[in-house]
Amino acid sequence: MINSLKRTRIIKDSIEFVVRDLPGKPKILVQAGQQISPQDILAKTTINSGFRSINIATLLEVNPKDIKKYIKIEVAQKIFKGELLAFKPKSLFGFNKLVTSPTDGVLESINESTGEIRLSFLPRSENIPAAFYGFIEKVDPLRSKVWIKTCVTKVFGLCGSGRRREGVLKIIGKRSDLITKPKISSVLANHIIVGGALIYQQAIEASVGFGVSGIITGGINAKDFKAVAGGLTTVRKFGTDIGISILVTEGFGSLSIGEDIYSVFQKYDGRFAVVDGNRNEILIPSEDKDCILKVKSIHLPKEKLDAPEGINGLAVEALETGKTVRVVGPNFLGAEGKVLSIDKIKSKLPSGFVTYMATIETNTRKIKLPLLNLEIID
Amino acid sequence: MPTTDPFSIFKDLGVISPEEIIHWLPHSLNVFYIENYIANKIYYPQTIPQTKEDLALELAILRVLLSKTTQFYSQKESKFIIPESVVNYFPSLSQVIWAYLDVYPAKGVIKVVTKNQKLHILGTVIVPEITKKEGLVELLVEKKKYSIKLGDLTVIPCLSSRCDINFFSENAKILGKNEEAIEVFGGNLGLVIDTRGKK
Repeated sequence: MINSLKRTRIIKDSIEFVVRDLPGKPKILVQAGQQISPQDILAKTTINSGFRSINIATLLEVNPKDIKKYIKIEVAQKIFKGELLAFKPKSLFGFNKLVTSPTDGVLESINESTGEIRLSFLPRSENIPAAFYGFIEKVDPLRSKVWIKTCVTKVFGLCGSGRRREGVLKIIGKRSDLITKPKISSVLANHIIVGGALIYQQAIEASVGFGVSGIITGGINAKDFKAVAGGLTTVRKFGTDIGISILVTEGFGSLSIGEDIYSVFQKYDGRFAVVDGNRNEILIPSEDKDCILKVKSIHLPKEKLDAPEGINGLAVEALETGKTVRVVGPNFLGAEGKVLSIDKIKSKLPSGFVTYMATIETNTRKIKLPLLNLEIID
Repeated sequence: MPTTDPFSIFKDLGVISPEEIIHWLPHSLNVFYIENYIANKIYYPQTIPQTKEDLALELAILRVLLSKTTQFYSQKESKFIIPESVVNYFPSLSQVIWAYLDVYPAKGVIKVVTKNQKLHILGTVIVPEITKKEGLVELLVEKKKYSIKLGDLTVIPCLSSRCDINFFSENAKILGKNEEAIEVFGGNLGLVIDTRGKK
């Protein structure tokens, strides 16, 4: 019998404690022990959701130090979307030039050296839906957190970065696509985008700028990952965050998201999810309202409330024909297939290594690879 | 299964730069490929290279990691210490010794050991002092004669625990002499003689 590593990548219908971080200054409306459905309101909150910079000097074609005389409102004054923000009357051979406010906000500052103004968005009230079927396990008003005992599908990445964030899953490309900057826009704000085989550094930067909550990608260049995560380590970490959560499912380089994982995201495209880059996981609420019975019947130890989990487990399991495996070695990295046969004697590779080989069948071809370069997946 | 991770003993794998690795590569490689290869090796340490090019890359990584520490070479005791994970991983011990000789300024007669719970002797490396880079080194090892061209790195099998050797060369010296009879350690590696001169 020959063993191989088995990596857990997906756990369906897992009963877990999910922590909801409530934004702003929330008034929590639920209590411990209360049963909830996705549409129930957990809390009401007021959110200060950031600011927007506008370069008035560029838009009016004036010197940055002169912009103050063209701006029509005072600092700290409210302005609503579409109202006049700045105006420059026509010159001898020119036209009137005007800038209207792109959003409701407050003029926060005027920078006469760059010609930019900063509009902070008006605080808005929001109801925070529960998003999960389950039971409220614990409420912490001081830290604005609510723990929910619920049923989720967990998808594990190989590595990740960034704190826990919530958002709506949005597939923005095929699993083999390259995600470039033009694919990222403001409509993706507060979404967890599911990309393809590789996301470029500029696309990550644009995602942070547009307020994207999270990125799921098959591959990433090691240099970009180091810039985001602060380094390469397999040790559990909780500290890194650059304003976005990233989950890398396969590895480094251009690597299509595994078919197993991509099919889960296709199923839940447009649904709410929680991504935690530092714990290498994404949690997707169960859509089955009958799961509440399972949630009720399964006891979870209280220690799990604060105990960090989430690193995908590795186990050793017998490799047999018919099992689904994923290539993790340098050649064909990321390919998935079924084991057709396992050699009974060792072979010598061009590199000089002598090892057992297996023939696997992917969607497109049959390939023979060292067993050490394969991992069993469910 | 699973095999031992050869680089787990080194702390610097995640921070070495591709430029350092390129210096030791016999072929050109894209910087992204090197960076991503290392990162994948960190997360999938059980994997092995399939091609000669990837093996050369892993040996270049080994050279860079060795160059960042002195814990695997004792100049005072004239000893190479090879981590057991490295011995068990690479297909040929002579490739590993080549990496050691490229990195460390070893001279004379060097004992090669591997370390797990205790030390095991693997063989001996002889690095003669080269006075002129032409001609031959004549070696008599366990009554078998070898003629080695100066400028080469040669591995001679010597499986017994100790081997008697006779050294002779007009243009190379060991222990300050052109001709010498000594007893050295043998083992799985055997006897390696490096007549390449100054690196």
